Amino acid sequence: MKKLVLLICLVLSVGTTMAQSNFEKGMTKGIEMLKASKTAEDFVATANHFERIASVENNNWVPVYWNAYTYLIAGMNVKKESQQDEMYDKAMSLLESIENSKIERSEYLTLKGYIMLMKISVSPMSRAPQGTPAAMGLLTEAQNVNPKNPRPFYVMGQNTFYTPSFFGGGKDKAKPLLANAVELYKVESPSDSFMPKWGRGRAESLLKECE
Amino acid sequence: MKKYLTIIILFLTVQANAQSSLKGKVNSGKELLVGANVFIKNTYDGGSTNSNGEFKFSTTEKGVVVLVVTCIGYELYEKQIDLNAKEITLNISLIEKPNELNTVTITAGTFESGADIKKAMILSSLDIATTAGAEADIYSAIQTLPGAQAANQEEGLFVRGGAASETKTLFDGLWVQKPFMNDMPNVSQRGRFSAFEFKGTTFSSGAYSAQYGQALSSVLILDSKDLADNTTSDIGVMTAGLTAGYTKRFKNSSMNVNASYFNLKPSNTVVPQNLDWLEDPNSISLGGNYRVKTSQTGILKIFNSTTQNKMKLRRENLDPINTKMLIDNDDRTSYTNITYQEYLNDDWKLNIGYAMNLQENVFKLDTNVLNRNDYLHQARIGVNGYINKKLQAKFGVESLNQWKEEKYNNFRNRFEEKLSAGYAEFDYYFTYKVVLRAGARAEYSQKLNQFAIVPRISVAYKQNKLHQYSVAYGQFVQSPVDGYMMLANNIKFEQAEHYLANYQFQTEKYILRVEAYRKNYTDLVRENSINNTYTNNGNGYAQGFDIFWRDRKTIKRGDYWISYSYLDTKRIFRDYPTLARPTFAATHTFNIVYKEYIPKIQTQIAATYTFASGRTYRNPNATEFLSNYTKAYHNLSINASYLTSIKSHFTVLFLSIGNVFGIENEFGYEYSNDGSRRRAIEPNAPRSIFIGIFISIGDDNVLN
Repeated sequence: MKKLVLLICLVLSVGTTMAQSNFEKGMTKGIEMLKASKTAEDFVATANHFERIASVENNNWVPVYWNAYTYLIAGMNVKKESQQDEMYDKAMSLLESIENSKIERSEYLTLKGYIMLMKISVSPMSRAPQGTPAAMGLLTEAQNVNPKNPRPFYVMGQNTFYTPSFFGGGKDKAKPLLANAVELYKVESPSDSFMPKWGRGRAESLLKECE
Repeated sequence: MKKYLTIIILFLTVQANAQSSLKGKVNSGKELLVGANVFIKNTYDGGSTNSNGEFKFSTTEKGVVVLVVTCIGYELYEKQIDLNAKEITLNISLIEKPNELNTVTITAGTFESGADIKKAMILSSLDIATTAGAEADIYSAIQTLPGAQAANQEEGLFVRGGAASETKTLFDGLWVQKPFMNDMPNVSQRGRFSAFEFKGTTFSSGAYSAQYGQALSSVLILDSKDLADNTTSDIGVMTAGLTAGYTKRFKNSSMNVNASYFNLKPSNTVVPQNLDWLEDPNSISLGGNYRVKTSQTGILKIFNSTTQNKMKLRRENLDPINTKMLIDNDDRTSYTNITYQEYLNDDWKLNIGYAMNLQENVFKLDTNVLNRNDYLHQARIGVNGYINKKLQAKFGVESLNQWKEEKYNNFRNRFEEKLSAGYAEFDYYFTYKVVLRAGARAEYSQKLNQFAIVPRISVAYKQNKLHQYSVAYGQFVQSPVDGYMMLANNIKFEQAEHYLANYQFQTEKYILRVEAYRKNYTDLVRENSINNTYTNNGNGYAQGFDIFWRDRKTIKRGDYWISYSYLDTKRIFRDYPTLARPTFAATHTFNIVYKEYIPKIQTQIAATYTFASGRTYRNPNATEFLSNYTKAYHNLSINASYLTSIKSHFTVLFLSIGNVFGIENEFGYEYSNDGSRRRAIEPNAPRSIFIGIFISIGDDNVLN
């Protein structure tokens, strides 16, 4: 009997270990795919990969988060406005589905603000007046919730960088935000390799352009 | 050891043998789909389709499994498959999901503008605000759309052969009795509301929804904005006056107060005038709004605008010769609008509204005084929502009370009207590509002692994302104009019937719209000025077609639209002795509107050119009534807005010139009593120049 229990335990633990390693393998592959993606088609294939992981790993926000993030980047790589909208909307609905999960609040708010800013960029003339204050509000909240998170500073800095100076943007105003983001990236120690960790390289190169 | 090795090899082979490979293509029924996700349910095994719509992957699963296909914009696809075969080839067709771009909407007769491009709007709110020659005047911008004609010498919109009184302006669903600043004979005026007050504008040139009534030709529907986004102060300094406004945003509400003073004296001094002004047109306006979110989904809005307008001028009389007449106009108008919206549940929305129009006007011609007072109240309540997924419905009732009095020296006329109306309208979606809208509206006028029920119906078919076809039919009734309501007894509603056929081609950057129409007018009021009798035996027709083309692609950063209208119309009404082409109807109208933003100099430039063929005018010497035509109308207007910042406050410098080339336009002629002398009815000035600076001071600077 004892042996049987042991065996069952063993089998179960092996099962879980295998499942975990499956998840880890899948996530590692996904993040590698993301790094290697160049075209919209690559990014969508990566997003699909995360979608498949998410479909198996119920209640785990991590693959859904990366799925949303990948759609955001995919949207930046398509030309048609309607496709950009579709992808940003998809990213937003994925992200909103994990609002009440264990995702760190600051990361949630940052990605939400980022998606909103990209939605605005599809049609700035009609969307910016309403959308920009709302998106900036989310990023500010993200900074307040976790002042050590570099990403809300980077996203806000990037947006400021590309906003014309008469609308309150420009390199001068972007510089302190980006500099702060770069400092924070340096000391960031992701507890887990699948946690949000994007933005560092871009923040550094934008900061250089501000000099 | 060997044994183990065999087992391992055996195990590996079994593993390898257990792999099934799947490949195939995914399409939408029409085209191959890129980026579709094809996978085995509850596994990581799957792949994406490439640019040829092909996928390929392998799986270690066995037996009967569920294959899932997902793709943005398409319905989820699931199918059981048997993995016993080693190689499986699949050809999968996905069904398109209905969305804003591929779902049919009622478009016959309607031009919609709004804040979001996603709704496939033909014009955005910003387009209305930045059209050259319009200067944020909604009516001037609408005049560049097909079907509408440039009014110029009068206020109002002439739509498809209809008189200006046949177009109603609705503010959040409620009448605006006096949407223009001032009414003066032969002087055109701006609308009272700024384009920036509204999040959406819908211009309907015919066969519109049963929700709206008392307009034989057209409705202009203005939807006010919701809560202001942030706290700002705005200041404007113009050649024509000053404006100032303050908006405060609270957590769940926002308020605005604003004031403006306009005086055309400075610009009238610089720009030569055709009129001899004693007091240049001037106005003082005070206004404000308060908007509060009463719940997650409910909103209460209160709006008021109160204006006083004055002007005084002297005009040469045609009779007797070498005399002048003093014209003096003093006008006070107040408009209040209160609306409340709330969702009753997930599917039904309640709308309640009340509007109050107060107008007092003193108009003097030499020593003769005309006093006009007009008070109008209107209340409405309506619900709209979904009966089921395919059937949408709208119901509502409204009630209107008008009291109007005119005193001319010692003569006094007045009338009181109580108008009640109710409507029901259903939109039935056979599929997301075919929709039928059927509705009816009932109207009862106490003054006319008449009850009428009028049907409205339209069908639209969306062939695909690009092409849509619609037809529409509607009957309309309207009380005769106030002058007749006051003087005549035993008159009835005037009536019109519209038939429309519409084709629309739309891509992301291009829109082509062609619409043909026929309108029949009956029961138009005719007056017999000899014995002062009024009858409803007038009638008429209007027919023609409109073309609208917009292109946001061909010219880099540029955007233009072209509209052309052909109109054939005749009517016998008012004092017309015979069936004739009315004075407000040009046969050909053509507009071209161009806009471009030049980032290098932070400037938006815009130009509008309008052409209208000649209109008829009354010539007492002609043998045939309204048989003479004015010369054609041409106008090129330009404007430029320079965006900058002053002490980090967003600032716009604005310059516009109306009728750049100073082309002499005429809208008709006035004749002396004996017909021997005449003069042209012209614009106030051949050119108009407007310069302004607008500063927006944000207390919550967006980026800080």
